[in-house]
Amino acid sequence: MFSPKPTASLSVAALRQFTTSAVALGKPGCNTIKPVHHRVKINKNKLSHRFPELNLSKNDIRNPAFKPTSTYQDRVEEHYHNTIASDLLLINAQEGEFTQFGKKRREWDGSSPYHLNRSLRKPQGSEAETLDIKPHTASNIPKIEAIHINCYVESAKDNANHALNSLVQIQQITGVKPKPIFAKTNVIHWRVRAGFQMGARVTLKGRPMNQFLSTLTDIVLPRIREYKGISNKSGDRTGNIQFGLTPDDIRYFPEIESNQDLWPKTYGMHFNVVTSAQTDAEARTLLSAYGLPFHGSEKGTKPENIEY
Amino acid sequence: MLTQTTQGSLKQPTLQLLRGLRTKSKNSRVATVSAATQRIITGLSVLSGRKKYPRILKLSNEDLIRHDTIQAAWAQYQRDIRTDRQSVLDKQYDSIINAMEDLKITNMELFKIANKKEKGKRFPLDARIPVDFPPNKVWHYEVKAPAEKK
Repeated sequence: MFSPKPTASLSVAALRQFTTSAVALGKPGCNTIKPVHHRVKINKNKLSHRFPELNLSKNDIRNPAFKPTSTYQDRVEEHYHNTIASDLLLINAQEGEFTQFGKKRREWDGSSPYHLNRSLRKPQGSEAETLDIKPHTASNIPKIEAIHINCYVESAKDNANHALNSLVQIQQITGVKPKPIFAKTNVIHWRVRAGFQMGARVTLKGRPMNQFLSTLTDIVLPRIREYKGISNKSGDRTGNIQFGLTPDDIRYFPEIESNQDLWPKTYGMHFNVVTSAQTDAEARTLLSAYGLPFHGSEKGTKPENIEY
Repeated sequence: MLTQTTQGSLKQPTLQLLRGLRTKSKNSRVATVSAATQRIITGLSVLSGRKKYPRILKLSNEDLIRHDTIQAAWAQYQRDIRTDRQSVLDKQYDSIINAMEDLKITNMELFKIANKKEKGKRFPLDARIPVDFPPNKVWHYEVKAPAEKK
């Protein structure tokens, strides 16, 4: 930190380094301001003058990484806009709706002096805060935003090839390049160590997501023997639905099925469908429009009132 | 090191560079891997984006201007579609609310039934997303679920 003394300015300028001007000013060598230039990560490739095309945006045709996106008709997206959206509006819209506030963290009553700097009390009847539910209008119609696929391969702890195979498997199924996942901590009785490559994950959005959804609902799920559907109890209470497929179910994907001999072992995976619905019940209604089946009893709904 | 090869007395002796010559047979230099490992290598080469990028298009200034114009027009077209779609939905929402308010005045009991939250609502499973080539028989209506075991 500087003191604005004009007298010391010359010598200060000579001695001053990036963050340690204090020593030069005759103060203890301690700076309370954190150095900015250590924290801001600079992509030095961007500073190079050699390849100016790389600094253009990815959807600029001059960028070497340019990839055309709208190259085919997206029937799933069209179906959403032509049919599903207006139906969902009709299902969800209600007269005289107000914002229902979720459970929020509470103030302490101040009966103890220690309440002063204590962090807020947890919400009543809940460990975590819950979201507000806003009125359902034409501008917040539920929509599928992304599908997260996570494939954790337990056998990869003994043979790292399984983790690599799971990467390829997800790439084959989705057509999108997956990322490897690594064990974060040592888990002794699983014999897993931090840093082991344990599987693959990918986030699908837009066209690849729609393509994947239609493959799933038209080809894979109808062929699974005695498939009951996604559980009506699934969901994270904020409008995202989770389900899973076993290694045997994965074999019904056409990319795997046509190369049976290449896939002596397949890997099951978990799916998290992220929607913009405000509650899980609305998210389930949305997913059923894409042909995903549901089973079981739904919380807060009588079984005879669930339509299938 | 240079060596002379004499293949015929009439021919000019040719010079050959020994340093660049391969001393072992070609096959022995290739690392042999098991079939399983080779399968993984092949699989990973599917993942790698290297060598898969097509050549960068060489565009003249005129080409670039043409491209940008088409892109701008396409974006505007998409934007128009989006605003039209939203205005239709807004009108639908307004008419839903208007109808409900009318019903509230006309018949309170009917209004309560109509304004109930539809939790557990499902789209019919036999509804299909339109495709270019639909099957001739879309739904097998005669299939019955097996009787549950008691």
